[in-house]
Amino acid sequence: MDNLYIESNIGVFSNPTITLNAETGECRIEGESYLENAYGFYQPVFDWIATYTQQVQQTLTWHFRLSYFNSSSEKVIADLLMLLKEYQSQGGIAKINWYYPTEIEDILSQGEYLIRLTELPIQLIPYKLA
Amino acid sequence: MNISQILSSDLLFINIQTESNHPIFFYKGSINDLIIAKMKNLIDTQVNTTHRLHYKLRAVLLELAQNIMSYSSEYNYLDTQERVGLLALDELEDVFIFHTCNLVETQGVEALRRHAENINTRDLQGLADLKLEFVKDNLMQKTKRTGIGLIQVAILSENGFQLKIDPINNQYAYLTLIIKIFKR
Repeated sequence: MDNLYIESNIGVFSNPTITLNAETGECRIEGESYLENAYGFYQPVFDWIATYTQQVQQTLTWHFRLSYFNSSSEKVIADLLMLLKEYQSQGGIAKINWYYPTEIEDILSQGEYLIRLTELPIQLIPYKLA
Repeated sequence: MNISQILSSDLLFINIQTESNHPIFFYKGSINDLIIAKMKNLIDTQVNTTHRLHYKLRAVLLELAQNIMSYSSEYNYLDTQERVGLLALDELEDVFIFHTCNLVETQGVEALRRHAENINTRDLQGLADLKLEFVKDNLMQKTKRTGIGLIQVAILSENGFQLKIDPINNQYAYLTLIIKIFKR
């Protein structure tokens, strides 16, 4: 199975860097996610998860480190987490880390909200902005 | 809306009084990627504030701009069709104030008013609950719009928003939103 890498693009509608490693199961979504058509952008991620959970079925560790994101992106991230929840309910292991800058409580709140929404044991991990 | 309808309404003459003499930006016209980039850049370069407030300003701007780009009933037609609205950001000593205005169809106005009332009567926990309801109802439905933009604006502002609707004629009204983000 192939890895997936999408480079970040910072503009009006910015996309994050996406690195999904099929060998290690390490998955990273980092940067800004301000997208007009968030589903269009994240579709390859949904496809990758679907393939991984059918073909590889090893532990997935997800790292979400988003510095900005809009409500359209948030909705897609919620759907992505629900897919990981489904993987867990089928016996798969998916660990999820949500990183938030200590200076911006809104990003911590988003992480707490996603825990409530998905009922997944998401780890909330603080970091300091440079 | 055709040109004669626009000319027969007060739409062309509606203006917004910003509270300071030098708003961070004030723009009325087509909302497109380039315009939003300029506004984002003005927030980055003209506003000297904390990471926390900077995040809120950029996040609210993007939600409001996307609202106009998705829901304004007024268009410009050049080589592409672009929706039209007004976006302004003002800075006072203790508060940042966003103004946004755009044309909406009157048939959606009552639902919008109820939605705004529902949002503005809630505290932060209540807003998180409301967002949860909206998102839960639409999970795994790949809709381009989520319908949580105004809820998110209220969460970010921690102060709700003011909504004003001025009827123009039977078919159209002018929607104004004012969002205050206190510097505290």
